[in-house]
Amino acid sequence: MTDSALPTFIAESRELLREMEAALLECEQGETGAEAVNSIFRAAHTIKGSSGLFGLDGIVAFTHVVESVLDRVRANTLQMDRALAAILLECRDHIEHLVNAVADGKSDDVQLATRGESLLQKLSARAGGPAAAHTTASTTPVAPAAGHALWRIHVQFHAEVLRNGMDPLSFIRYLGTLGDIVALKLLTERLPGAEEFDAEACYLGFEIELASSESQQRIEAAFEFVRDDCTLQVRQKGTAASEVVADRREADTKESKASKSSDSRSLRVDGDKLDKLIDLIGELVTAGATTTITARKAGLSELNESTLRLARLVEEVRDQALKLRMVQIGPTFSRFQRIVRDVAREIGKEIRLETGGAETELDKTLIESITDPLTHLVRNAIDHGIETAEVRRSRGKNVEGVVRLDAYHDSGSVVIEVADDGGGLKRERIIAKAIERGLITDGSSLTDSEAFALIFEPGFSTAEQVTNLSGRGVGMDVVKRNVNALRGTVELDSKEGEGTTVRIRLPLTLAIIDGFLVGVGNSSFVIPLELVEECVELGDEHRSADGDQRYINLRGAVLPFVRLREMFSLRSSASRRESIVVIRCAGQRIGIVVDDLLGEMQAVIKPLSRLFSRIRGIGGSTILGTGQLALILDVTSLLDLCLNTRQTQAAPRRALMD
Amino acid sequence: MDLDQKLSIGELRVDGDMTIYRANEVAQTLLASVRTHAGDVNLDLSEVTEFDTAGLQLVLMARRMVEANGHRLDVVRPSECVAEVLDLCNVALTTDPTQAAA
Repeated sequence: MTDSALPTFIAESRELLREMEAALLECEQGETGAEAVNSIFRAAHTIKGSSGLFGLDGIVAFTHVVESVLDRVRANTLQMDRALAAILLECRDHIEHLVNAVADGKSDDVQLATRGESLLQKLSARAGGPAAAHTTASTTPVAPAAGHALWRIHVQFHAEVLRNGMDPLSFIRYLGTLGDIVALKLLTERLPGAEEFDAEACYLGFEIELASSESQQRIEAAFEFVRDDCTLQVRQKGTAASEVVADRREADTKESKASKSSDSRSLRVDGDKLDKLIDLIGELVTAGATTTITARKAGLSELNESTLRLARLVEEVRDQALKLRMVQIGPTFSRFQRIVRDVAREIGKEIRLETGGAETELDKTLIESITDPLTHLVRNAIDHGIETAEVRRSRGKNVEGVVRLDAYHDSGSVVIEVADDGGGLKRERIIAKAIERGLITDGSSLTDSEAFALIFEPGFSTAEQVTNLSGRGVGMDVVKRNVNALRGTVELDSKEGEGTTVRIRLPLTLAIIDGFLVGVGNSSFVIPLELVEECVELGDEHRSADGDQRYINLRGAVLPFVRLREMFSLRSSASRRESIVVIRCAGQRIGIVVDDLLGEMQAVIKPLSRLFSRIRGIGGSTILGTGQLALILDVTSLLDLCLNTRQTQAAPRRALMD
Repeated sequence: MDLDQKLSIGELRVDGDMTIYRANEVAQTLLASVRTHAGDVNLDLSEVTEFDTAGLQLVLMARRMVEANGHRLDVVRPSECVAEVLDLCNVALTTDPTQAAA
């Protein structure tokens, strides 16, 4: 095994450790399912196996002890409970430290070794010494209890099973926990002659009669870890004449093949390669648009047809490529289980984390960038949101507080919610603090959501008691800044006494958007297509020369609008026919007045250079098929901007100044 | 080397782990001793500290070799972990079951 495989080992181990953590936390909460125990065992086992390949004896030795304890949990000779889960969690952390040490290239850390020793002592104090591993379930032949079906299991282990680090005996022991082993016969026919005998190869098989009320699936699942390393046959022996024969051998090999191919169906790809691919596809989209325009000019119908087909294919390729970067948010959510547990313990609150929408997918870079703000929000919820147990009790709430993480797709964006059932925000206190800090002068005219939005202003904190976790007054504005940097928005709902929900809204991807192209004078702008609701003509009656009127009556509803010409101080006279693009964003509707409607297009987002990073109202730029530049409107900040400047005398240059 | 030969005539003893990790090493010594030995063998496993499938196979292999010569092999004084495996796998290799888990 070469060192070049080491990074893969480290990445895989970390992944397994994350799974292990999630499962352990589940156990610690008292929901010890066989699934969870199996996944913990699998993680420990795999890490041990791979470390062995790299000769990382420190990890092998430590993990071996952990694994054998887990083996006993699987065999039901040891009860998984909170205390054991907590110790195992510490052991997991230690394995992580060991792996990190390997990653840092200093695997022989003495301090780590000492810590490992004391952990193992703790573990064996709780679980009994490793020698006790052999006092397993009794296998005395017992008559099958009533209601139990009798199963005949024929299993022949393949030669490689021992070298793969599996001990067939442990599966037989595990089987004993699923029912009563009525009869067992060791199959030794495959033992070869002395000359061919290989001590590391497995030649044994078993024929077992098991009285169990478990389903066939559960019994077969006992051999899950050696699926590929054994030939398994499970049949039910009926009591009456109706002997159900379900020879599963065929199906089983198929199944194992399927599981094998599903394994190889996912592969690890360097993130840079993906980025390069997305970049290229961006270029492809642009080049495709150029071709379409040229073809249209040329007026050859055949050429037009083929470019259209090409455009459709490019679009599909683009979607597929973007999907490659999509990752489920679940693993990120489950990481918070640990944070919640540790922080809650530290400050002495009882808090449970619930998650929803784990299968929601979003761009990998988004997930990475959103983890920090999320951490902050979760900590905030634990620290400031959830009340202490006494307060909760006196308010008649469940003593255990709940923090909830949710993710879902909503009209072209991803929404991530952090909710708690804590004390909620106190409007008066926020306003008082904001006045004290000089953020506002008078709070009476603010709506609730405007008042709550104040906590995202720099230099604001409502916590009366500052803890070392959060609440130094630097938090929420950083969250907002980070989210805004991802072209996202943050909003907050709160009800005093009932809880707070922070909602982060993010674009699906950072790279390419479907856009709606509009023109003002000689300039082109792109509006994200998913926000566009409809386009209507701006009637003459609304075109007052001074531009005073800032709303129209759209089928009986008031629709405020902005003129892009004014927002960006474009020096050209309004065209004879203007249109309003009606957009809906974050629950509000607004009209954008433009000269020309130029149709849908795919926009490859080119970020603005840092020089322009402070400009609000513009999210980026894109190159049109004609080679012209178009600015992509950042509708959310545009909305903010025009709603805030609405009352004041219109300050056209404001958008570019800020 | 934990394998002591000829404690008494026909008596072999394996100490320490009889697992996959030492399978080759134990196999070499044990099977070589069995091969050169003519007559019944008592295999003393009282000092075996760990015993897995590989260990079990070794014992079975040794027994088969002895039996091929028309003699018999008995496991005597199995240690706790050996007895557990023999019991689990339903193999009778011991002459006196009361000695099990002694």
